Amino acid sequence: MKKGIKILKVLVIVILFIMLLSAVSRLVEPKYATELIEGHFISEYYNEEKNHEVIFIGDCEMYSNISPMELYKTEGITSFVRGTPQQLIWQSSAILEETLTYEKPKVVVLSVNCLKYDKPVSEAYNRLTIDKMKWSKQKVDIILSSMTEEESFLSYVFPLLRYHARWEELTQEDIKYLFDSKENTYNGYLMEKDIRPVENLPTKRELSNYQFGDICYTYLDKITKLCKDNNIELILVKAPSVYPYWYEEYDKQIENYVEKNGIRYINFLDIIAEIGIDYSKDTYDSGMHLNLTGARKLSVYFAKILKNDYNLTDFRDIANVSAIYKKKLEAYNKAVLEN
Amino acid sequence: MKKGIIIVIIVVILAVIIGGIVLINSNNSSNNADAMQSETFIFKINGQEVKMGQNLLDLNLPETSNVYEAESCAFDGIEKTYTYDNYDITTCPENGVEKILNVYISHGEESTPEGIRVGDTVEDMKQAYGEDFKTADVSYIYTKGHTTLTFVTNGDVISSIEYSLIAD
Repeated sequence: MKKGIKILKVLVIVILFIMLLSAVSRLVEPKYATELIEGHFISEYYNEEKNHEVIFIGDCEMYSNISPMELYKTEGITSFVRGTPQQLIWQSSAILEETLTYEKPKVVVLSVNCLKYDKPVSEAYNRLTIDKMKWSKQKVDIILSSMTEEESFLSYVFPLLRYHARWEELTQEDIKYLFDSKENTYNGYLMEKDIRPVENLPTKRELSNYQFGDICYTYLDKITKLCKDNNIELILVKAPSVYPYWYEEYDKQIENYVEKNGIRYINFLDIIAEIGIDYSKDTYDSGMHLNLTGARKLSVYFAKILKNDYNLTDFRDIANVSAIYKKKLEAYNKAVLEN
Repeated sequence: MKKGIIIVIIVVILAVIIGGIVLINSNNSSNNADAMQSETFIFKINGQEVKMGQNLLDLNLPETSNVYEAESCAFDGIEKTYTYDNYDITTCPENGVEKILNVYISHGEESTPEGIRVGDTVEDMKQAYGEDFKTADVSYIYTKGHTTLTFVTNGDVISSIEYSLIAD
């Protein structure tokens, strides 16, 4: 009996120590609430009602250019952008896999921009995608496949190992969002209203290699199979970003792939005029991403394609969903009107 | 008394483990910083050495009105590409400085300090830089420290040259 109590006491001490460690760890890790807010995007999905018929997956070319609220307003489509900065194809694959553990959309739209990268780009980008993911098999997969040489798996398990130096840089944000979070997107869409027109573009560089890496095809195959196995329509898209340059050589490879696999590919760069995008006012960063007016044009255009070709539900007529979107639209419309 | 000793031992062991890992992590960071300072490929503009990773503002470069600016996806601040007649320089913000990420040479008027310019042959390149390169499609890539020097070719002729900082 006495021995049991001793063991129990030791266990309590160890648990308290781990709790203290977790609290300190939480304090020093970035909150992504008002700075580097992109690091919080991945987690904004978890609190959602999982009723999306369309899921967008990819990098900034998704979360800056597609506004799910416009898809809903135009055609009653429910959708969410699961986008993170510089999202790599194996990350997209794991994020899709994770999404399918929550819900089964009718359509998955994947940004093909990620195919340009066949190895991890930097720890900074990894952190923005991974830090705020819920623990799951997919998170473990993403960490293991994304780590650069200098990173360790343990630093993702124990953020204190990575962020202990932030101890001296803690701000009010770290206290305010210690047990709280701040949502910065509208169903995954990052609203930017500034205007910075396209003026001078840098020289179009020759590349060392235009061939997508084998690993990219491996994960693209995985995504394709995942969609086919779940009876989901997969659409590959290239956002209408005029910089960084998108090359003919890339397009040819994607066209070959979709032809072989019976998938649809839309390169929005080819139909900029048809969409109505005006790069003297529809971009906030000289053509890399669309601003609100540009994203609205693209989203309305895409909503019609989705509605016409994919038999999606008009949720504006469905009471429980429209009630949720009524609140979402109030917040969205308010943000649209704010200076 | 025994209980107290056991608890102290457990706490000390845990603290040593955590502290040790933190220390190893710190050492890795400082080793990485040292590596960044090691030898790199160097480009020259008007006699000034241009090293990848250095602060662009430390250099006295010619004026250009062709500067492409864009918000960085992963860092606070603006990424910039300065376009000159014969080359482009791209920078990203880091700790209040404009870190040079790459220099892209697209015209034959500009040469590397080793004398190779756009329009020279692959043989010229090999004589200047040796044969310790990797190839990718139509490119020859030399690596030194945290930088690469890439020669893109069209047939046997160099069509562009790029100095790049290897991402952290």
